[in-house]
Amino acid sequence: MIDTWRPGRKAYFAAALSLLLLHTTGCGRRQTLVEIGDRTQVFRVCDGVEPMDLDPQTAIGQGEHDIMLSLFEGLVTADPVDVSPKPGVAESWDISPDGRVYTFHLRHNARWSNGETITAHDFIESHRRMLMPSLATQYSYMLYPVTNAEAFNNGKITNFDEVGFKALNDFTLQITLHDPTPYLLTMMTHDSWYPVPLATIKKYGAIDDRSNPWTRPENFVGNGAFLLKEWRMNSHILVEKNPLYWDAASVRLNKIYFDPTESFDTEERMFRSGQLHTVLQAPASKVAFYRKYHPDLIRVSTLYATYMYKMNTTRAPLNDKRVRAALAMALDRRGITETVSRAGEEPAFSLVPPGAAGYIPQGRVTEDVEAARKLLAAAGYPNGAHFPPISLLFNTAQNHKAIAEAAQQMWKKNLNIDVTLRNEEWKVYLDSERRMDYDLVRTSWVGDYPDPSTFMELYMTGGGNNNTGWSDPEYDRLVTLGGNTNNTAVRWDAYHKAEAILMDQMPFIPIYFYTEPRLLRPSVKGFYPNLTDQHPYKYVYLDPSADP
Amino acid sequence: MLRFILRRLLEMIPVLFIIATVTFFMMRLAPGGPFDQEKQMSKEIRARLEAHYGLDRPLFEQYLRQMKHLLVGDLGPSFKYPSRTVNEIIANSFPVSLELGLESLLVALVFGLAAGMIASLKQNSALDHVPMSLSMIGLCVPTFVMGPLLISAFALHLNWFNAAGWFFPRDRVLPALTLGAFYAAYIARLTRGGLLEILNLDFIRTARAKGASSSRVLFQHALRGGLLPVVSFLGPAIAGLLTGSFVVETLFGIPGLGRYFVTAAFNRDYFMVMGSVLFYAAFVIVMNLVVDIIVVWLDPKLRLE
Repeated sequence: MIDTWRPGRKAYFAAALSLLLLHTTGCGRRQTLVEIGDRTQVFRVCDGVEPMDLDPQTAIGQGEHDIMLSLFEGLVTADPVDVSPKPGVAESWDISPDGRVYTFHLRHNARWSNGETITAHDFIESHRRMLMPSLATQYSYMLYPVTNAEAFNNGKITNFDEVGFKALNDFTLQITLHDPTPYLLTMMTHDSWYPVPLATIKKYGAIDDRSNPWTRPENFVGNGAFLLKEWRMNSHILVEKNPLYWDAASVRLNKIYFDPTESFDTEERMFRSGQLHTVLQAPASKVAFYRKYHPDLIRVSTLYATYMYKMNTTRAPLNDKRVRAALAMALDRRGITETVSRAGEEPAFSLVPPGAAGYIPQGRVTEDVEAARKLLAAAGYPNGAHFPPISLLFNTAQNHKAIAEAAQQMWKKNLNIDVTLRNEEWKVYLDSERRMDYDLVRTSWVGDYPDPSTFMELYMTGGGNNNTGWSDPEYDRLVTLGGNTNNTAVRWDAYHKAEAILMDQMPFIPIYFYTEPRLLRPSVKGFYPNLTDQHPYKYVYLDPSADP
Repeated sequence: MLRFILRRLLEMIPVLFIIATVTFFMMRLAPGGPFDQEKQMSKEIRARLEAHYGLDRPLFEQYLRQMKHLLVGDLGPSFKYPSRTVNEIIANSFPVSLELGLESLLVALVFGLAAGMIASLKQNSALDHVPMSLSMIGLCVPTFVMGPLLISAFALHLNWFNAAGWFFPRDRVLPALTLGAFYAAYIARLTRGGLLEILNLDFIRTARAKGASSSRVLFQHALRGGLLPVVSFLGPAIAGLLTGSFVVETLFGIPGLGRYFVTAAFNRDYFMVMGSVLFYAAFVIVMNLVVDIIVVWLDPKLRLE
């Protein structure tokens, strides 16, 4: 046995040193980044995962959109409160009486961050790039209301002069549409309509090359209220106030940090430890807690998005509309939102969420178990007898599984039918959905812009995201009519009739309208809840006195 | 020795070739592709994107093309991040994973060796039982439990550290502890076992009989032999610390390579998957070689072979 070891002077010294080290690395109550930011107008945001890119023409996704909103500005911007169109680079605009010709008058003091003036030609060149077939931009269809835009994008015409963009002079841009499009201005607040700095893009490669590195901070040129300063992948993006922005005087924030994360729980912990002013979405498991104990830190607002189950109408037994209707009627949506999803969602009885552009949907699914049983019996399955096995497909994420289990139980209890659950990894699930290898599939639809047309077009014949096999010529006709008239009464009437067809044929089951349970420090001002979750940062500021 | 190293390096080539081939075909057999997404793109746009990246060509041609690029070290573009190349992403993120790995290794070695040495010197006393029980806990608690526990205590409750992020030196502490805890526990047990075996050998008794102090016995005589199991464990440990950092990187929002390693597969980012798999494979092989060299140097018996 070795003789006993006792701590000597050296050991005590080492212990003291390590304590000192621990102290210098950071013990004790510190000022949080949020507290420092409140005083210096430095806003810290987490809006999801690492952005794929910051090129407004090729990057897609909500997180990307949020960052680009600070870096670019289109002719028209969204109002921070109700997202209605407001002047951006265009000071004003005129619309011809037939609703087909829009003339935009550009500000003379709108400049790129390299000091050059923004002209009507910049917009035309940008729109040309957006529509170039070789760039293969996913949102090119946002420009399709413009005369010949679709033909150019599909390569049917190659002369861009034939597309309905025309510069009357340096500061006047005329856009001609093939049909009146009442929601054009709302569409124009989308990223796909932003101008891009063509001269800069050319400097770093071909303009139609997706891998062109012009969006790196050292190369970047934009025209928004903020400038790209740092971009470290999966760490942070830093933007700083742009002194050359035409309305720089009213911009109050000095800097914004966008911190991407992969996990809602990590985001929530960062928020709690004072690293973030706001987090896009609280984890579902914590929403109820925040609402009860910290209602000042959570803001649940309705989004322009619907959670639904699509049905494959080409397969038995779902090729029978009575079966589809029975499935839709036998669910208890409030039960799902209040006991399963629990983020304050609104039960959905229609496709289009109410509110945008003043449209109120009329067609409604009725929850009626008795009527559902009768329909099922009429379709040849009294009390669920001989009902063929069907499955409900969903992807491995969030609480899709819990919601599917609830629906499965409701169908069993109310209709006595067995629906098996099929859980697939994200890309496998997308592949199955695209190939229509499913009976029922969970899906959601988020409006691209605040107008019912973005929802109504979903179930048109041949729609890229229809994937149900359902099609109805009268529905197509009504939706097209509703999209091509400036007469609001005619529009809403057409949409109401189209929705009635949808409710009768039931190619999908609406479950709920999404809410966004956003975590937000009370010091954040000018950051309003709205349907499309757009928060132009030029209106945002921090008030430390509001967050004691 | 030089021949041994050269032979091992040459052996790497066929191994990497097989890994690349298996990775390529496994990725392509998985359903879904890089351009499948919630809002589906039109067929024309999908076709153009596939053509842009050469995904429209026959599979075997794509395989040959990729192999040719790999030979010259070109890992290709990322589909998920179109303006970045895989080489660039690895070059930016691997140093972060490496730093996290080395800091965790430091945690593992400092705590593991100290606990193991104390326990072996004080066998069957409280100084043996307490660290060994703690190490058992360290072995059992997975990182996704350990991480949130540490964050909850030290970041949210005591406010000593940030809950996540990789900006300040102090941001390294909690991730390194989380990732290093398991390895510290393992090393503690290996050290204790290895030392106990050596401390009972004749040459130690001789040293003590000659009047050597206990610290001299431990550090001069026992440690070199007693640490052999620990050194052999370091190879897999380093590999584990570097490749197994996905959970810790996600928990703490760290911009390391571990995250891409996993998310690239979810995103079907074919070139990124290939790049990170090959990079890690080469790294692990080299690390194992380094460990083998150290073991040979430490153990005179092996040197003869």
